[in-house]
Amino acid sequence: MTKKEFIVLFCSALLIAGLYHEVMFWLFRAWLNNPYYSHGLLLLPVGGVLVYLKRGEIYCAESNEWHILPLGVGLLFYLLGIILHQHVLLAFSLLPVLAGIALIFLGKGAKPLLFPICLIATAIPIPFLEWLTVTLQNLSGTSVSGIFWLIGMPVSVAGNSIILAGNAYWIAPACSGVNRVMPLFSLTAILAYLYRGSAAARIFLFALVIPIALASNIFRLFITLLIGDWYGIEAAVGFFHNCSSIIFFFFALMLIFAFARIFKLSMKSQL
Amino acid sequence: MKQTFRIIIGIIALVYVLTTLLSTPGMVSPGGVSLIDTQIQGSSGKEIFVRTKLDFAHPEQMEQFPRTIEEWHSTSYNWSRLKERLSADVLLSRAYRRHNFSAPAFFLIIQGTNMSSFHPPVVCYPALGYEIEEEGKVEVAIASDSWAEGPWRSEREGSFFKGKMSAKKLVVVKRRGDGEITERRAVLYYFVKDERMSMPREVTMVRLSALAPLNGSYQDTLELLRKLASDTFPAMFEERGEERTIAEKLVFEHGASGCLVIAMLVFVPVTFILLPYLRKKKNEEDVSFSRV
Repeated sequence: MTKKEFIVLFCSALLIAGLYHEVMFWLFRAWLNNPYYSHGLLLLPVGGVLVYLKRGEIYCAESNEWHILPLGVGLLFYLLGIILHQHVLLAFSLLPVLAGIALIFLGKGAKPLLFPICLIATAIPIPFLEWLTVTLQNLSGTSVSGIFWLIGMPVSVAGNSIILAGNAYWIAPACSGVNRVMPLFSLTAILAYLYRGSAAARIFLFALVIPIALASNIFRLFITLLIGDWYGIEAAVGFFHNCSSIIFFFFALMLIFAFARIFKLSMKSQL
Repeated sequence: MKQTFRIIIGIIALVYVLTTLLSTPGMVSPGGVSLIDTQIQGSSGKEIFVRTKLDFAHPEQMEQFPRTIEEWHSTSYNWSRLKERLSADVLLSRAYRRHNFSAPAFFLIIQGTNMSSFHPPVVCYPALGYEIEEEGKVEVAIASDSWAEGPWRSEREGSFFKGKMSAKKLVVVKRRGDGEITERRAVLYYFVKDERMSMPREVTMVRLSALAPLNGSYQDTLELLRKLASDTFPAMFEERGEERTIAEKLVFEHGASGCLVIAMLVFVPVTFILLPYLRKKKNEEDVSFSRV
């Protein structure tokens, strides 16, 4: 990169930072305070590691005229976001802008940077995610009671509460698993990116996130209720409940690895 | 300078100019704007711009919110469980009663910075086991308009308060295992959004709810809530009228000179982007002319 190019890059970065400073404040506030998106902070070093892993594939190539298109589209979305008061559109417009800048300065050599940039999309607070809460809450409750019925342990369901052996367990909105969907999206996207195999298989793996999240949450609730039945309700809703995210992600990872094997995806010679 | 780099700087500068022209002074000011809307995301098109009389960020000041308003008198109620469920800061929770009406109307103000974890009633009630019976919007006439006759609101400013605001209506029921309704509630709610450059800083929800008859019409309950919404509004807000964008202000307040300023502001970055193309075209014309 020449000195002139570096100066232009620096000026562009400053101007874009000026345009997006409110968006960045909003994102950081969400990552620091919103339990659904706290993984956003983790994605920054993870993105750095992904770039480092592919550092050999980053080079400075001549850009063509089309490489300016993402920047133009991103800034158009930015303007629309301002006019329509759509903060999510404003936040998402940052992605094509960053991709556009990378493509303009590095040409085809910017390819390894595009995935870490797109990964930020899984940490942008999207509207309507809360609408999944009730659906996941009901599905989780019904499925867990179904499992108990299958293994011969009678339970009764009243609304969002499951009554097992005289103890009532209320499936709170936070227990619907919705707060773990977005981190699981990030995790699956990273794994799908690192896997070797057909693009269709990797996209399909990524598309399975919501069923995997639902299954993992059902498993987590099932274990929680079993603990409650064996060791008492205090044990279930106390320490175990607080650290049951580990069970969720452990089960989710098992499922992801199982599907990766089914889709013949492997991580050989990737790193 | 390489043409691509010229385009980058030019486009970004053009976006700066357009963003400024399409923004209102409130949007770019450090304080931002406060508006009342029926939806938490984006704009419903029925939002009204307000000045908040209370500092919603200060619980001590919120405690000063009148306990007696018009014919209403209130008592505080416990909100700790609700606070936990909503992942938000509960600022005010009162049960208001009218002298001639024994049923209380629950008045709640909550604030949150995270809209994703801040469940609106339409999500919150079903998550708590309620069933939505009816959903819609209602107009609330703001009864006491003495505050709306202040000197800040003049005909020249074009910000006449219409005396009405929109609120979301929700009727929810809770059923027993056998399907029998055990509880029925009417709910009114609206959002107060603090924005800067179209980015939300804080969202405050004002929610009013009351128990409705288990069967039959809930109109009396709804009227009660509308009356409370109407009476509490002036204690919290002053209407400020929708601001014009900077471009509109330039055009309507400065006429031709305003248009000229806009044209100049847009012309500079556009020329910066197109100059090499124009030069190239001129050179080609010169070459073809000299050949002739």
